Amino acid sequence: MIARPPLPAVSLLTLSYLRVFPGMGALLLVGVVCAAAGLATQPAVQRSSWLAAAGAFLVALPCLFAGSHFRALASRRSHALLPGFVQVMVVAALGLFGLLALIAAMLLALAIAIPVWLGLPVALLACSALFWFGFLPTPLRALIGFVLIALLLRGTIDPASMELHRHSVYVAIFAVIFCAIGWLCFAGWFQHRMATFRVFERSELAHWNLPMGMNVGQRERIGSAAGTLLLGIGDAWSSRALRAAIGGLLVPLGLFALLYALLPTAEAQRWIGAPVPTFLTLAYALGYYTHLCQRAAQRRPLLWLRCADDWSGLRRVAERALLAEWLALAGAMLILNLTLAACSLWRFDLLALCVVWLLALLYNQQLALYRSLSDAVQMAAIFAQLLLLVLCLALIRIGEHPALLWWFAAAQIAAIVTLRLIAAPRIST
Amino acid sequence: MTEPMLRCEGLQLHRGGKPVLSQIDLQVLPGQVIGLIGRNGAGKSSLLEALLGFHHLSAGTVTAWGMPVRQLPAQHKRRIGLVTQRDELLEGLTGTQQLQLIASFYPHWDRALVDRLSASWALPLQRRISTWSMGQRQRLAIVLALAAGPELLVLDEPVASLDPLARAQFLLEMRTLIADQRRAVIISSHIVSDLEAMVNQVWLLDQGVLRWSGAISDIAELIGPGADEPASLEQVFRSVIR
Repeated sequence: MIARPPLPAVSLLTLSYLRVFPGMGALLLVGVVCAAAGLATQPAVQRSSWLAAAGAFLVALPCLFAGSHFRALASRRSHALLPGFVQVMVVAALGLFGLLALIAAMLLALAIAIPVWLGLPVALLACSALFWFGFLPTPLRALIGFVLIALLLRGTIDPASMELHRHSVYVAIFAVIFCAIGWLCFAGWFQHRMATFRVFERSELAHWNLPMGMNVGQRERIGSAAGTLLLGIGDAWSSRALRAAIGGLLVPLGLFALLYALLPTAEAQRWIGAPVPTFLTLAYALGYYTHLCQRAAQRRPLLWLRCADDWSGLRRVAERALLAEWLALAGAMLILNLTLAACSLWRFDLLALCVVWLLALLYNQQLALYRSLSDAVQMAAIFAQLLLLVLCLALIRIGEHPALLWWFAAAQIAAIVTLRLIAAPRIST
Repeated sequence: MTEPMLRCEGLQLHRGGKPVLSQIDLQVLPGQVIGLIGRNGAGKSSLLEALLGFHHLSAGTVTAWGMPVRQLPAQHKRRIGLVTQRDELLEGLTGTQQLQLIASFYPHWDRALVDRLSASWALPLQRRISTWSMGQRQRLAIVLALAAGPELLVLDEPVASLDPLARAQFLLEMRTLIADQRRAVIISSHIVSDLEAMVNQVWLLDQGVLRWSGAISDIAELIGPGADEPASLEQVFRSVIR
């Protein structure tokens, strides 16, 4: 029991959820604008697009980060000693979840004209899934990411399969069951965590902390001592190329093998449409490159052992090492796309997607290396998730509006240049 | 006899199969101001965390006010204050909001102390914490720990990121604080000279082993007889930890 009403603490913790990263408030405002635009638009298709965008910014975004924010809050040593902190945090989380689920249900009901009784369980299901995401162990989180991608692709290939009216009863039942399971898991995790208050390290909290070094047996060829020290893996071009090739080919091939093993051949072949291999490679690159950026940001101080330079100089070394990794990934992407073109599966709009994605990875690198070390990992992970969310949505309409992606690419370049201009003086002082 | 606030017996901690802390027996009594010293990686932070129940011990027990430290109820948690090596503030909040957040958990929050320290340390409370410097953040973390009026205050390298002026102010504040004989303070620091003026007990940790613990007045015994003049804590530290 705590002596005072926990209202101020609850409201402040809720407020902190909505400020997980700089600019989150602005993104929420964009969601409000999208929702207003959706309400003011008459044609049903345009209206649903606006409301879907509103849902992404107003609901999916806070939901996606709430889980990891929880983990971060629960892992603080000083919070573990606060009397009554557990109760306050649970109340804050439930309040936030309820609010987001309500907004999601309203947006769903407006966007696809389904009854509220059906919209609410769907919203609860979606919000719960995103909420749990932050509590899952890292490998499972990566798997869930691929499942979400697969679901979106299925929706793209066969839109009818995603129509909720057809499966209303099942959706409602699944929503109740999965919400219950998810929240029980959360409650169990949280109870255990706060009862034993085991300390989490920040690196454990990053969403894309995947063991993707592919350094089997620690036998990679070392290119330079500084680069290897920084990345923690061999930085020779041969090692780098091997990693990129494994990521670019093994990940799609593994999934296809799984699909062929589990599904009838005809059904499996539907999945191997043009976007799928490219998209899987892009998703792999996102996790792998973010992981490398995180590692480089953490290990940058070690460069003092090899380079007698100031922070700006060390940053340049790190940038060069990461850029080389990026080039290897871009090369793998190019080979994959040329192969697909030879198989007549390649589409021009996918090239735009690849370019945008790769530029976004560079932006991710800038974030990781420019910002203060303590925030770099989380910032990069957050950006990676945001990117995944936006591009998953974009992929659904990519065939109709490929020009949008090129504009997005231009925006990415502008962001990278701006970030360099803004952050460079801070680093050098 | 005075009841110990904190007691550990046979404390052992392993991480990744390697020993981090070995066979440590200690106790903390009211009025003690303990300086925990040791080289980087000696296990100072691990020891403090183990004493506060943040780790599963490989062996041994830690009790606080007679209760297992990992099962402390809220009324006893309230009696402990902690300043970590790296602050644990919520970056999305302003300084004022952070203060309000922590204050809401404590019925006897010392607002006067908060106002006085915030003013003398020039904390920009209206700005978001994400824009603060490391030193400013550390100062706020110290204010938060002090304002709760803890009986047992644990400070893990509290002055590492403070400038000399703020460090002097902090030490002054600490001297006032430790004058209260009902309170105990454990402070780890690399700056041994700071500790010397403040502590009355010393724990000397070396590679996870408690090499020595006792009153600071007895520390000269560590370098043996024959010294011409009383040895400083730093001299002892240098001679013992090679």
